[in-house]
Amino acid sequence: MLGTEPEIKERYVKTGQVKLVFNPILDHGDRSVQAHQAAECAGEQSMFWPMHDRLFEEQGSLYGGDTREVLKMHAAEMGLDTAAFNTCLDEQRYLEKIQQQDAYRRELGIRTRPTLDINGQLVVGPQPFPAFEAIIEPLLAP
Amino acid sequence: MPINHWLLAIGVVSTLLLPACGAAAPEPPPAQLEAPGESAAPTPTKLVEVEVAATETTAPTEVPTAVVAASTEAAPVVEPTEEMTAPAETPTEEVTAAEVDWLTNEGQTEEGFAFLGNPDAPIVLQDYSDFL
Repeated sequence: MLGTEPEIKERYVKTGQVKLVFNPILDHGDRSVQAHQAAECAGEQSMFWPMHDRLFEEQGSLYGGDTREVLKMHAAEMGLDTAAFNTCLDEQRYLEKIQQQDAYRRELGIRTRPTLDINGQLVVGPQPFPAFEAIIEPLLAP
Repeated sequence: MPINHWLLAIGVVSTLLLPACGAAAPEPPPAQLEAPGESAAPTPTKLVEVEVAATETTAPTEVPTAVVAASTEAAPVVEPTEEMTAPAETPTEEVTAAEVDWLTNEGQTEEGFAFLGNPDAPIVLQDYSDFL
């Protein structure tokens, strides 16, 4: 997502009012498959969300060259245990998991990136922060 | 010398010698702790009483002075100050939910999806997205 995500994180996730859950969409073939596995492998070192943020920020790097090598480079620059990360990625340890999760969102009928589900209310496509604010604030009212 | 003179002399000498014999008597043994039922040498109470009386009379002020000094040092007088009074609002050590930075908390849901934040948050935001 990334667009308004930093604001949502700072305003609502940081304060404990919103739990943010990530659901993968594999719409770009093997590059998506490797990128989502890289986030899972980083999650083994409690670095899923830093890797998640980095991959969105450096999105352009994923379109060129060997995707696995690019992801390993990102892991190294982030200070991860590269031996553990590289082994995880080379083993394709989370391939089945992310494929199952992607299949699940298809069953739900979710096709557009990004799609957000806020306590059952769907927000389809990129939206400005006030749109999320208008949904979240009433849910927080006593 | 007539016998009456001898008798008189003996009487005078006896009168002079008897008090001296009494002062030279050996000192009684010191008082000892005894188990009940055991016999012990009699303690001359008169001599002990005299010694105690002599001690009290020779140094009557030393003990009271030391006692006063000790009591003063042991219990100093402390006057209450503003710093010693409890403040109106006492900070607690409990951390409220609002003070926790949930951005540092990541985990996985029961279904295996990565999450960030308070696992018990009232609002769950499911983000369906791709990195590309």
